[in-house]
Amino acid sequence: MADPIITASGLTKSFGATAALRGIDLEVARGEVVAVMGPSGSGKSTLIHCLAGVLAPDTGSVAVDGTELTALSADARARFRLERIGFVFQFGQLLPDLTAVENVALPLLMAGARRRDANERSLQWLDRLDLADQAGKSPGDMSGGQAQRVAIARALAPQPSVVFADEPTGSLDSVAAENVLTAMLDVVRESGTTVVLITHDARTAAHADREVIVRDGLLSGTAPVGAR
Amino acid sequence: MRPAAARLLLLNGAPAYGRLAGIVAGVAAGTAMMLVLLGAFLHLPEREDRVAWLTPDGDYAQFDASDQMIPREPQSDALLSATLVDVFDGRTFDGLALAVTPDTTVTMPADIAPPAAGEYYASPAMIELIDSVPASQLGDRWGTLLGPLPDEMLRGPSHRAVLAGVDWEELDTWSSAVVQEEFRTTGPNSASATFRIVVAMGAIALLVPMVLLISIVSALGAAERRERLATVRLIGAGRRAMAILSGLEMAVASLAGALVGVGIAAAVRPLAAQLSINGSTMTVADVTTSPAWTAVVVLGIAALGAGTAAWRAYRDDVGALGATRERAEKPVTAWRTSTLVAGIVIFAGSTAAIRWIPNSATTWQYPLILGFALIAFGIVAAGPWITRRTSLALGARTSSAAGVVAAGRLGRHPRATFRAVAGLVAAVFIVSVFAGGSSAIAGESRVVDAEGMLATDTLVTYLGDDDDAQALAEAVDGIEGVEGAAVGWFSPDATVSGVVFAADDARAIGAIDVPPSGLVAVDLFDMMVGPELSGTDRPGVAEASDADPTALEPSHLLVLTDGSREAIETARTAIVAEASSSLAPSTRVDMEVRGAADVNNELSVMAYLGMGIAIAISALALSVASVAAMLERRRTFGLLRLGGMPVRQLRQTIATEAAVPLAVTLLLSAVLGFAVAGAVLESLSDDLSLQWPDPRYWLALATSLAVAALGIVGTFSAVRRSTELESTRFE
Ligand SMILES: Nc1ncnc2c1ncn2[C@@H]1O[C@H](COP(=O)(O)OP(=O)(O)OP(=O)(O)O)[C@@H](O)[C@H]1O
Ligand SMILES: [Mg+2]
Repeated sequence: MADPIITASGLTKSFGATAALRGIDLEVARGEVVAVMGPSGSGKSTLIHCLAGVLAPDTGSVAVDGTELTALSADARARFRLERIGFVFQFGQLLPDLTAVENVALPLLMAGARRRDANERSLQWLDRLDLADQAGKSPGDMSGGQAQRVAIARALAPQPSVVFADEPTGSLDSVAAENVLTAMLDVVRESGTTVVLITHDARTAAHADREVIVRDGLLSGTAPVGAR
Repeated sequence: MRPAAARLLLLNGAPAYGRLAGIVAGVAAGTAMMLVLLGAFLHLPEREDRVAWLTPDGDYAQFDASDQMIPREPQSDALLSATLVDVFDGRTFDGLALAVTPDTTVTMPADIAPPAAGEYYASPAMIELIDSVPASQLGDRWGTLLGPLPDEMLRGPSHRAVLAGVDWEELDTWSSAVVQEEFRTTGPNSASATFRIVVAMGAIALLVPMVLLISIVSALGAAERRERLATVRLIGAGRRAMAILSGLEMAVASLAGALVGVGIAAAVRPLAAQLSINGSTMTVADVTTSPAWTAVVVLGIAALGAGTAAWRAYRDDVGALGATRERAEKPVTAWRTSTLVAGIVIFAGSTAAIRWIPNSATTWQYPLILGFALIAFGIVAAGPWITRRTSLALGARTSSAAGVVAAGRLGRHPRATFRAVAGLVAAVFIVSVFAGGSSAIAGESRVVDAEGMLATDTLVTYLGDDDDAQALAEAVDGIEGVEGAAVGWFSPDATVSGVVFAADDARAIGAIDVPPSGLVAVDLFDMMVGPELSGTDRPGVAEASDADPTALEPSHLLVLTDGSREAIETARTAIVAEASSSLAPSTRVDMEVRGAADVNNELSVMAYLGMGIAIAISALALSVASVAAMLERRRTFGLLRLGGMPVRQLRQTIATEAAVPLAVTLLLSAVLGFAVAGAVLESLSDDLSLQWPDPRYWLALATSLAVAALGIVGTFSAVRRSTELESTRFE
């Protein structure tokens, strides 16, 4: 691969007796959007957690944007995630006590931005995701699709190298899912951000550049989306 | 409500037991204290009634046209009495001088035999004191000991009191003697009113942290079993049924706690009776409540527990589908300050009434207590509103992620966040009241030796008309440690004011700028009270050249001593035994002792004790609340950590969430506490005023803050553990 931003090799991870990952090699190119598919319990979430430095794999190595994650301490990995990684989950990832704009500003503040700059940038991102009118609302008062777009704004606002999304549209109906996904991919493609996206839905996967399939903790196939 | 659902709700394993154990412990401690305090509250007036005989209640002597006292003839149906103002080794004691005829028909208190002249009764504590020193230092003051005063005539075991028989004709010459037909049987209400107010405030002070504890533990219970509660709701229990069930559960727990508290109260009563109130320890009966009152307290606390829990359950209802979306609390409004405002108004009104309407303390003590209670609860009620206002200001300004998260939480859950620290805030309010109150008189003596002042070890005797100054001076002359005696005179014809002394004597007692010889007038008052009161550090001495030496009347006897207790007490005893006055000779130090210092020390000991218990209950509540907050937000914190928030910043968040409500309301309660103390002092007496509190106050404040810090730091390790990425699932 020309310019891999993620290089993982020989990843294994067990939870007690359950072997969630059993030896995975994966490269993701800079700017690529990769869909990860596979049956429930196959190890998809565990895989991206290892790629993102949330979990330390039992064996194998992960390098993201030139940094070898397995060599870092837990605190250093936290720092790394803060600076280079964005996350989007299925639901419930926004802090319920904060407004949309505060939620988006949070990672910026964590990284040391000034309050006013953080607010300004957050509002810009909300605007890009068509949420300008939701800025002052709290998550409890938003629709599921709106909340997911706020989560996406939050993941993208710090301009990370890679965004990991674990079924970001899984809790939405198909129309809302499509809207959220296109909104996300539009801004991602525009900014050249790399995305690793877990999904059960083939239509969602169709938006990706490439899809990989995980089965029983192993990669069972990888193909450019168009090739199918 | 179906039994199956009830079982599911009530019997849910170890965490429930831990939670209920917390309730039982907190309620038991609180109930025990409440029972003891209530006992004291109810018995205080009765206690003053027992010592009513000490207060003379009759007519003073009449004077004839030439200003001579008209003698009162001995009579069998009346008695002469005068209060003895006396002191031993720096501690005052109570005393009454009494004269009756041998055939008296006056009924004696507790039916004791009336003491004849030269005979006396003393309380057991006094007898112990008398026996512990040579008779020449104390016992000889009143003659022969007849026996102990019965308990019915005393405040309590450590009460020091004497009842001394004096010859009728002699007592008749004392200007303080009154003639009365019977002894008083009821003490002045005012004597116990102050202490009753204090005791009632103490009980209220304990109620606040107890209610908070119950409320916090109920909330934790609800958080822990959200799912279960939802299931029970799904099975078909209504919102009211849920409230009733939670109430029942808490009623059982708080009833158990209250019953344990009854046992604890019984166990600690002998200890509590050791507390000194109004000059004496108490009897166990004085701090015991009747079965009826005990039942009222126990049932009242159980009802309070049930009510609090039921109300919480009703308010925090999860709904039949469980709480899927985190809901913000209902907004807090400025109305929350209304209790506080009402309390301040009622309190200020009743202190003003006590201050300006004579003898109204007895009536107005009740609204005063009510106002105080409303302020104490009002601070707690207003806390969430203040927390929210502060969080809004913080949220708009902070530039740290921890600040933003904390401000968000504080702004959306001001009740929950404030509740965690409310107990401490209430405790600080109470301790500030007492610290302010007891600051009025510092325990330390401020009487010092200085040039021009009377030496602190010189005894001053005010002589009666019949006293033989020369004989008294000779009587003390031979006592070991007595360094001299000086007689002061009143001169009817001197134009300069002051007590007249021979120049040598004036020099001997420490006067300065004394002329070489002759008679001088000394401002003895200024020499005794010190520059603060007299306004001069050179008390006036003037030549009394126009005083007629033959017309001088002896008015003062000053005895110079080496300052040893033996010398002072032996000289005092010799003079008390001979002189005809109800005022025992006293030094400048003794005079200060007669102030209210003892009372204040007693009050502050009680206050700090109660404070300790309130802080302990609050600490329990704070740690429960912190754990509950942690549990509730595991997912939030886990997400923050996932996103790369360092544990340090998470801890900052938690610390900020506790520190903000604590800081603003702690300040408010300290200030209000001192204001309340100042108002009470103002209303009680002209010469009491607020001073800087003593070190114990700062210690109590530091303890509260340390307890708060401990509660917060205690959750720090839990933060890392419970947000461990391995153990949190993110989907
Ligand atoms: N923290 C954990 N503790 C124990 N077992 C775990 C943990 N996380 C994952 N597992 C197990 O590892 C395996 C893989 O789980 P993972 O969450 O990666 O699956 P997944 O592919 O994301 O499934 P889904 O599509 O349902 O989200 C499963 O068998 C799961 O039970
Ligand atoms: Mg998964």
